Parts: sequence; C-alpha cells; structure tokens
Amino acid sequence: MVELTVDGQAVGAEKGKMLLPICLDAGFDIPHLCYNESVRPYGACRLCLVEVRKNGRGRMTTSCTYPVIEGIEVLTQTEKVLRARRLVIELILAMCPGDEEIQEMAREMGVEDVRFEKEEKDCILCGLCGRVCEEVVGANAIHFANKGSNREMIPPFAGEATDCIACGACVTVCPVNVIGMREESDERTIIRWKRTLKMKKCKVCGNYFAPWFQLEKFRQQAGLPTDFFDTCYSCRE
Amino acid sequence: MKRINSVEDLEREREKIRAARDPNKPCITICTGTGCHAAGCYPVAGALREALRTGGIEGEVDLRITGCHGFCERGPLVVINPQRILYQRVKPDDAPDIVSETLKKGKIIERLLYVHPLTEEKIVREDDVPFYKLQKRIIFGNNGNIDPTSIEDYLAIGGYSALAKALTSMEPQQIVEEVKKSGLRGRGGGGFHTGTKWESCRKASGDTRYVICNADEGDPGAYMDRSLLEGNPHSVLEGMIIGAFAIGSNEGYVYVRNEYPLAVENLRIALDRANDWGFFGKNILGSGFDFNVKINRGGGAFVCGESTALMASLEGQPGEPRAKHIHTVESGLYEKPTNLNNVETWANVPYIVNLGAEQYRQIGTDGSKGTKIFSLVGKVNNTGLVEVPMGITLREIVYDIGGGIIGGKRFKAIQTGGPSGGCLPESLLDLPVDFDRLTEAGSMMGSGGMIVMDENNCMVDVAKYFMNFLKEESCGKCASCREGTKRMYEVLHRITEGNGREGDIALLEDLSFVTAEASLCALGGTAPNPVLSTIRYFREEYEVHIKNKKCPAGVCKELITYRIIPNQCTICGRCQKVCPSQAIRGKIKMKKPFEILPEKCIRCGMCSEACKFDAIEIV
Amino acid sequence: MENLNVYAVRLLTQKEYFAPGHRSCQGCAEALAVRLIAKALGRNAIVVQATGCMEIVASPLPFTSWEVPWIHVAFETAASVASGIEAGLKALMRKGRLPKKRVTVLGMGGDGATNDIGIMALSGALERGHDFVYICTDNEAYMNTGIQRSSGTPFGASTTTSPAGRVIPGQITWKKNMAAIAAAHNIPYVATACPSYPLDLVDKVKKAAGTKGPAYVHILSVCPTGWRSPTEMSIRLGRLAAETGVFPLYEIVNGRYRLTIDFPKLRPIRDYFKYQGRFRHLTDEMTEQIEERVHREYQALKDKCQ
Repeated sequence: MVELTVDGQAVGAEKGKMLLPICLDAGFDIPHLCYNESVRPYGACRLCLVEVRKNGRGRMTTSCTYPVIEGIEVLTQTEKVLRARRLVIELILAMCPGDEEIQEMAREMGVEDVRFEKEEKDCILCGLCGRVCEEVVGANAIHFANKGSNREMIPPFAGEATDCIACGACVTVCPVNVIGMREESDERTIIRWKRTLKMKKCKVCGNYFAPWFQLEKFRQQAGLPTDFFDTCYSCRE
Repeated sequence: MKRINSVEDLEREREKIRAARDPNKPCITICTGTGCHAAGCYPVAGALREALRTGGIEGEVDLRITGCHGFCERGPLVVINPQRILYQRVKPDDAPDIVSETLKKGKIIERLLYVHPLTEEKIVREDDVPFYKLQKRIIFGNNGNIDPTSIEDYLAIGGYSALAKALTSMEPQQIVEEVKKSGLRGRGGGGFHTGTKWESCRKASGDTRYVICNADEGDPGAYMDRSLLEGNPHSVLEGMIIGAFAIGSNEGYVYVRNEYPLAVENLRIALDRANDWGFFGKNILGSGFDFNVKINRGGGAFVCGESTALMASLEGQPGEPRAKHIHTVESGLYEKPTNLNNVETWANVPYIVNLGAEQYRQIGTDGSKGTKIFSLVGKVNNTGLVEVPMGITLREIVYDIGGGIIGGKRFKAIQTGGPSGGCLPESLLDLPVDFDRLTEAGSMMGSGGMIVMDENNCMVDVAKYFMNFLKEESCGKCASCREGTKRMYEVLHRITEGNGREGDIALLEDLSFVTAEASLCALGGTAPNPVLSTIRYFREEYEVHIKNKKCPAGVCKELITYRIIPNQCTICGRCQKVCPSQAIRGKIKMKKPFEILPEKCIRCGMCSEACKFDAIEIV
Repeated sequence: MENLNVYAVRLLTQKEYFAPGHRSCQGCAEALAVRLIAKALGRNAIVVQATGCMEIVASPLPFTSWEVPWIHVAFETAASVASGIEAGLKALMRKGRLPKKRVTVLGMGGDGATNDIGIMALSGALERGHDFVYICTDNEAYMNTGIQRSSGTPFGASTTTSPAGRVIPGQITWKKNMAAIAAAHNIPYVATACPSYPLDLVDKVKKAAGTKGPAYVHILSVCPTGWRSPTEMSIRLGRLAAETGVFPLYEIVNGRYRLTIDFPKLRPIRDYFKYQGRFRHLTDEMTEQIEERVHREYQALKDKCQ
C-alpha cells in the first residue's frame, strides 16, 4: 500500500495500480474515453490528464498510465489541467462533431463550439475495440492502420474482418457507439467491420442463438463434441 | 581469418597490418559519402583506377574508397596522401591529369583546388581549408582515412584498442564511472547523461539486459548518423561492445533506417568481419565476455526514433511510444533493462576509454562535454557535416566553417534540432551551442540538424513545412499530438494562404500548449517548437501575414504578386519564354515593357529567376 | 445486446459496489440483479431502499454490502425519500453548497414495496417528475417474511397465503403489470429486465440513470426459495421466463415501445413451469389457459412495438 494525496485528500492505494482508477474510486471526477479496466491502459484520448507533484517537481501526465508511488501529490482540477482537457476535447469534438457522447462531454467541460473546421469522422481513435479484441477476446480481428492524421481502426486491408467472431465486445465497449450491430433473422452483422455471420438455429426450440463461426471456434478451442452446440443455452439439459 | 583470442594476439595482428603498410606510399582517398555519391564519385573512382592502370603505376599507389569527409558542398572530394592534397569537385575527366601530374610529377593541379571565397587564395592541404580547420574532428575525422568495409584499415588506425583496454584492464563499474566522469550526454536529442543511464541499467534487476544503437535518424536534412555508419561502422560497434561489457549485457541491436541501404550494407560487412576476428560472439578477446549484435532495419516511421517506439518496433509491435513512468533502463525491450544510445554517442565511447575522461572533459562547456556533429545545410556556402566542440557559437559555425550565406544575402534564422527544434534569429547568433543554452532559447540540440535560412525564407512557411512533416509522422496515438499537429498545420496553412484571422496566433499558442503538455512522447512534446520559436522571434512576420495579407519574404504564393518594373525591363522576352502559364503579355517588336497578367500568373517565380536585369519584383 | 454476453460481460467493471458476503439465499437472482445495478450506476449514486429481501440480506447490523451511500426506509417510502434526496441535491448544488456533478438517486424496492405498499408514493414521485430512477426487483411474493402472495405473484402460483389445494389452484389473480402502470405516468423511460440477460440489464439501468426525469425499471428476479426451484436453475429460469413470453423484455423510451429481445417463436410455457414447485399442481388445461393469455398479452405488446 502506498499513500498519496489527491486534491489535498489522503488516499491509500495498492502499489503499481494506475492513478485513474484510484482517483475514480476515491470519488474524483476525471473525464476519460479510452480507459477500460479489462484492458491494459493505453493513453490515447489524453483527457484524464492530472498534475502530479513528486519531490517538489510537478508535471502533467495522463492518470491512466501513471502507476502510483508513495507520497505523490495529485491535482485533478488545476487551471492548467482544465485548460489542457478543454483543448483536447475541443480537438476531439472537431474531429467527430456528430458524436453525442462527445458533445455532452464537451458541454460539461465548458466547450460549446470548436474553432476549427469540422471533420466528418465518427471514430475517436481511442483503440478500445482493437485492444478488447486482442486482449479480452483474443481474435485480433481489427487493428490500427496508418499513422498521423490518417490513422484508422480497420479490419485487415479495410476489407471484411475475417477473424471476427461477431461477439460484439467491441460494440459494447465503444465509448461513442459507432461500431453497430444488426441482427436480422439468421444473420448477425458487425456493421463497421463489414462482418456478417450466419446464426446457428437451436435444434430444440428453433431460435437462432449464436453465430456458427463463433461456436465452431469455441468448439475447436475447447475440444467439444461436434453436436455440443446443436442446442441453445436454454434447451441444453 | 581465425578468431583473435587475446589482446596480445590483437596487438600482434595490428603490428602485422601496420608493418605491411608504407606510410609514405601514395594513397588516393575518394569520398563516397552521400553527398559525393550524389555528385558522382563512383565514375571518378572508376576513372582514377583506369588512369592508374594506363599510367602503369597501379601497384605503387593505393586507391581507397572512404566514407563521408564532410565537405559535401564541394564533392566529389579526392584527397591525395601522404601530402593530404585536397581536390574538390573532381570529374572523371580530371583523373588522367591527377595521375600524370600529381602522382607522377608531384605537381598540384590548380583548377581542382579549393579557393577561399574571400581571400581568393588557393588552398592545397585538406587541413588548411577553413571548413576543416575550425572543426575538432575526434569522432568523424577517421572517416576520411579508412575504407569502411575493411577492418584492417580500422585496426591500422588503432581500432578496437579501446575495447582491448576495457576488457583487460578495466572493471565494468570503472568504465561506467569513466563515462560518467567524461560528462558525455546522449547525442540523439535527449541529452541525458550517458554514464548515469548506463549505471541505472547496470543496477536494474534481471539477468538479461539489452543494448541498442538507435540509428533511426529521420530528421529532414540531417545525416550525421548515416555518415558515421557508412564511413566508420566499426567505431560504433566498438562503442557498443564496451557499453555492453560495462552494463552487463550480452545482446545488442542496431535499429537502422532501411532508407540507408549503404549504412545497412557497411554495417553488415563490419559486423561480419568483426565477428570473424572475434570481436563478437563468445569469450571476446579471451575475457570471458560474450556479446552479439543483430541488425534490425526500420520500417520508415520517424517516431521509431523515439526509444520506446523503437523498442516496440523491435518487438514486432506497431511503432508507438508508451509511457515511460518506468524507465526503459529498468523495463525496456521485452520488458528487460535496456540501454539505448544514439550512433554518435556510441562512437564517442572508444575515444573516452582510450584517452580517458579527463582528456575528453577538456573539450566543451560546463554542462556539455565533447564534440557534436552537425549537418549544416540550407542557405550556407559550405554545406556538409561539421564536428565542432560544444560551446562554439552559431556565428562561427555559419560564417567561419559554413562560409556565410549563399550570394551574400542576409542571415535570417537558423533552425536547429530537426523538425521539433526551433528557429533562432540573428540576435542569437552568438549563442554558444550546447544542450542547455539551445533549450533555453526555445530550440534544442536534437540529433544535430542545422538549417540556415536567409532573407528569402518565410518563417510562417518554414513552420508550416515542419508542421506538415510532424503531422504526417505523428504516430497518431495521442489525440493531442495527432489532432494538435494537424490543426496547427491547418491554421498555418490558412495564414500562408491569406486567410489568417485575428486571434490565430493565440490559437496557435493554445494548440502548442496542448500538443506539448498533453502528449506522451518527445515527438508531441517538442512538436510545437517550430511554431513557438518562430512566433517568439518573428511575431511581426505572422502579423503581417494575418493583418496585411502580405508575405515579406515573398514565399507564400497566395500573398505575393510578380510585377515587371517597366524602367528596368529590356524587352528581351526571356521571361515570356520560360513562363509555363502564358501569363506574360508583350512582344519584342512592340518595344514596350512586358507585363504580367495577375489572373494567369501561378507565382512560380520562373520569370524572376530567368530575368537577368532584376526587372521582376515581388510585391 | 442480449446475445453478446460471451466476452462483452467481461468488460463490465470489476469494482463491486454491492459487496459479496451478504446473506441472500443460495441461487438468489435478485442479489445478482442488485450487483449488476450497482455496477451499472457506479460510484456516484445514492440508494434508497425499502424494506425487503435486499435490505435484510445486505445490512445486518453492523455490516453492509453497499459501497455507495445507502439508506433504508420504511416499506412505503422508498420513492418519496428518493424524491426528497433528489430535490435536496438539486437545491444544494444550485446554492453552491455541493459541487455540481451528476449523482443518480435510486429508489429500490421489491414487488411488495412497489406494487402494493409503496405504489402511492411511487406514483406521486413519478408524477412530480423527479430526476430519479426507481427499480423494482420483483421476485413475485413477500419472500423474506415467508412467501406470502403479493400483487406481483403470477396466476396459479402457490404461496403460503395462496396455497394450492383442491378448490383453489394457488394465486387466482393475474400478475399486476407494474411496468404498464409506470408507463401510464408518461415518464420518459420504462423498461423490464432480468439478470439472466446481464448486458441488457446493465444497459437499461444505465439508460435509466442517463434519463432526465423519472425512470422506472422492473426486474424479474428468480427466487429459488419461494419459487421452489433448484438453485442452479435461477439463470435458466430467467431466460425461460423471457423465452416463453411470461416476462417479455422491453423498454419504453418517450412512449415508444421496443422489444429488446424478440423471439420469432415463443417456447411452450410448460418449459418454464416444470422446474418450479409453485406451479407443480397446475393441470395441463390450466397451463394451456395461462399460455393462451400469455401469448395474447405478448402479441398485444408486440403490436405496441410497431
């Protein structure tokens, strides 16, 4: 355990934990977009900036990637921090002016309009979908491509994500809801990754319950009998 | 070659090599560095070889292909030893003369000599040329004396003697202390104390440690590391072995740009030869120390010059920096303690070990010791690579070594430190060049790029150029850097197009703040420097662009118009001939001054260049 | 959403705001529902809980499972206390005595506290338009006091106060449709959920919390003790309740109905009944009657969704 102070308040934390979850747990509001505790911290959105003072020297850093150490002094609401956050959200808003979540966040931080030409992107490039696909799902169906302002999250060669099992983890984790999933009778489509998979029909009740490809993958991974997924979860005895 | 197993064997072999060489035997060295290569050194080398053969003195004269000598402006360079006669801008046609006159008769060929631009005095010896005279070439100097593909050449000039000294008569800790005492600081741009870094890495827990040589030099206009690797790869390798021994590492990597094919090639040859001789592998020189180096070619991303991105790239991950709250000396490549240094830093190590820290400390200023290689380019007479002691002033570099501004124009600014560096104005010309002073002035040492600009360079345009580079080369991970650089470019672009708005300077300052403060790595952290330093020193120029919609330097196309001054026009018609868009009206027969039609003019400036009577002005 | 629970559930926060170690029965789906609710709301929530199972099991003096501010109030007053807290917060924030931030006020009660005893307070709070969330965790009887019937008990279920005998086949009234009553207040958000569909539940609670104005979520919570069902069947029973159409999962956003999980073909209701002791006495004929009414109501709901 280490002791630190956040905005003057003493906070205890487990050594090696990142600063952001500790501050959030302690009730400090720090905006963030690219953080999810199930994946490794990444630090792409730069919204969770705080000032950390150590041995009398202060500097600004993203709290999601900062491992706590004994005796640091964390400031979450200084003028410098707020200014940087406002500018970051302004930049993100200028990139994705149509995302309601971003609009809401910007409004809360006091950013009403942007001073730049608005782009028409929707993805904020936080990378959560790709990281979840790699670290939680293990499918590695999507990844960042290109660099600089051409950066984008895409399936291989911007085609169909052929390794995608349509589990939808990316759809749920997306902070701005732009991946999208559609289920129509016997098909499930992950819209953004252009991936459509046929659904398996339960032998007993006749309901479609999961994509073929996904079940087949699970079956092979776990070495289950071929008829294991013939019935849905509810019909399995 | 059989492996050398002890220092005694090494010295014996070295003596053998030296004995077989006659120091008075004439030797022609031809620079084949990047600059001379572009200027056509290989045909010259071929012609010289042919001339030697036809002249019948093939066996009496050595012909040596060397790395970069540094004086790229005057390439291809040929130096004739032992007299050290420098012939510059040599053409293949000059080869027979060189053989028949200089080598056979010992006569100097006047037309190939370097002429001092001010005194018009012809200079014979290489060392007397002011460009070289004012330098202190402890690292770079050997480039001109050795064939980079020949390990014997390197041994003949005392190569690997520092390694022998380190392995046999020094403890690893002692080497670290020596480097610490020398005050050597990282030459890649960070300026971190090398000895301290080595010590932290040495003390980090874990059995496996790595050393890495960062040769991913990506700054526009900078080619110091390239020339070192191309010209003297063994010095870098020797430094790495000593460093690895001091740190306790058995595995090293050289991360070199794939855009440097010759550097990769020469490095590979050097590595193979050094391997054969036993400077790598198991039990080096019988000391019991094992070390191997692998060469890794970079994929062409500028950001991979950043240490953590480089390590990610080495691991096979995308080249993105990661947070360095745990330093790479503790957890770097494959999460093992890793010591990364730049090419030039490694090349400094053998010198320090050989001559001792005390001697090394003699060179330089209080905070920055030793020499630094700069690539001096831009609007300066003597472009090339210069190695100068720390603390030399910018004025000395530009005027004394660089020979002043091309065409006698007025110096305006010097851009140091690569794309993330800053532009320093004339008032700071007397600034001593060292790590701290440059940072104070709002620029940085960087890896050593120096771009000289004259009155015809628009500072807004320069900032825009670098921002364009940075926005393309940002890895795109941090929103602040990716979007910040893009937006800064956007704002700069609109200012240069005449669409600048009131408040744009403040906006640029805001963007600079967020890009520098909120981004993860040094690329984002220093990205606003070109903008901030130009605003700091050339604010009026920005204001003229924004308020008066004018470009004082006459660079920003949207803000200038070309005009023919009627009194000065001689009605020769030259401008009309070169104009690519038929924008010049007039006929020679009409005997009336020509006119430029603004609506058709694309502002390419061809007419202005073509006019011999300065009759075309920019307004 | 409902079919995504292979990996997506792992992305829920690992932080527990409703800590383990409480005293609920084995196989209690209600505790699971509360745990998910607490995760969905996160740290900035104030919970007002009426008397009921979840209050009893989570606060044996001097312990509590709650890691957010929590207050236990009398059976009928969950909604009124919640509305008071909401009004108080608003006033204090306006006066600058509290920093402005989003705090979710949650009123919670079981089917007894909601459908029967606290309906008046709830109706008033919904009508007044307080910005709060009310969640009913419905286990279809007064379970902690010994399985007495409530107005949430389904038709035909045997309880200690509606015992199945030779004359009366258990509960003889149809289950009160509390979600429809809440919807009749024209509030911006009404939903039904079930912890067997965890992502769907979390999503709905989050939506409710994000709604400006009152929101109501009705959660079916399988109770192995009261339903006389095997404890390991709790999750499956919840799914069966949805798949047979007994407890359709839907939401009403600003008056627009949407089935969040739709089944092209409903499962026979027998599949649901056969695992539950409280329905053991039902004859085939009665089962068919119930099934017929369930299908009719399901169709009526589907019609509203058009």
